[in-house]
Amino acid sequence: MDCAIARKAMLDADLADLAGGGSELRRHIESCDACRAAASEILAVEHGLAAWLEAAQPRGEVDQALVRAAAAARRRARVRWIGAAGSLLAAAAVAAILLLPHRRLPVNAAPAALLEAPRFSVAAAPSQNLVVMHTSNPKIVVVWYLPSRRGS
Amino acid sequence: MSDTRGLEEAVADLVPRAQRGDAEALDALLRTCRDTVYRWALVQTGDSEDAEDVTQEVLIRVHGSLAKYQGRSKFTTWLYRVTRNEATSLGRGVGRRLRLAAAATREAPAADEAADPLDRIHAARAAALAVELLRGLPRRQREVLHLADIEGCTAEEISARLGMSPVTARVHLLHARRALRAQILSKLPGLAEEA
Repeated sequence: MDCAIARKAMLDADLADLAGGGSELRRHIESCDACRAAASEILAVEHGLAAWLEAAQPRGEVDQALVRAAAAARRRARVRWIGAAGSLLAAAAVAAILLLPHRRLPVNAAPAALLEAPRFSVAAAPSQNLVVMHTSNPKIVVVWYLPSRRGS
Repeated sequence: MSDTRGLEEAVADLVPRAQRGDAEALDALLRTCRDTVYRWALVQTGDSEDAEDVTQEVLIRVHGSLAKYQGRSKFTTWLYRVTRNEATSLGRGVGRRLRLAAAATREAPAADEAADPLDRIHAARAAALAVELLRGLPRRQREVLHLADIEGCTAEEISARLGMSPVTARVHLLHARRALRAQILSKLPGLAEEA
């Protein structure tokens, strides 16, 4: 392998091949000062990148944002809890009203005759739109007059 | 240990507890995820302030919608997607622009204090160059390079996170490596003359 081929291979090689191992590229690097310097520089820069990232840390504002987010989440949870508890209480109140034993409301006593189903009979011709309803009480007769519609 | 594997193990117990409403577990989960989410966001946005915004949004989102995670994928895969979505939303913000070039040197990492001064200078220069070059890559290539070469994810894991085929992930990785390394080699005086 000559230097030109080695330089091209260095562009694509894994870091492990640049740093060591028994590859043809590595053998050339070990035998050539210029290519060894090139490989060392690539490794130094990529290690420098790793060190930079390793040392990189966010500032305190991130933690403050986290605290704010946690507080907001707690508030949201509290509001949800209060809403749920309110709904539950309302439902319980309605259920209590419906389920608890209560006194029947007094019903006005009506004559038994009125409560019976009326008997119907048509006492006039249909064209006159008159219906007479006889009840079981002979003293009560309901006369229902239906005004005729024009043209019908 | 990579961010992903370490995080997956660290939250294995916390996630189900947090989903059951354990407030302490949720708090611990978010604090455990915080730095990893920030680093992912930093790679995706290329800017520390944007990354902080994304991290805040992601943690708030996880806080509010952890119940939506149903365990069909790894928690870290789900979290990575949430982070990507937030980074994408942020990138669509009206009037937002990347502050990459100016931030490149400002955010270069401090070199190891215990190392030889010359080594420290070299390490700091290499790190600054790395950040600058990473930011010059398209977002997809940044993500793939980070996941493959720094987090040590396989092509299959990358494809699951980024919603692409493993073949596409490998192609993005090749493009990213070529672009990054060609830039590195072009900045080496001796090599640039030879090339």
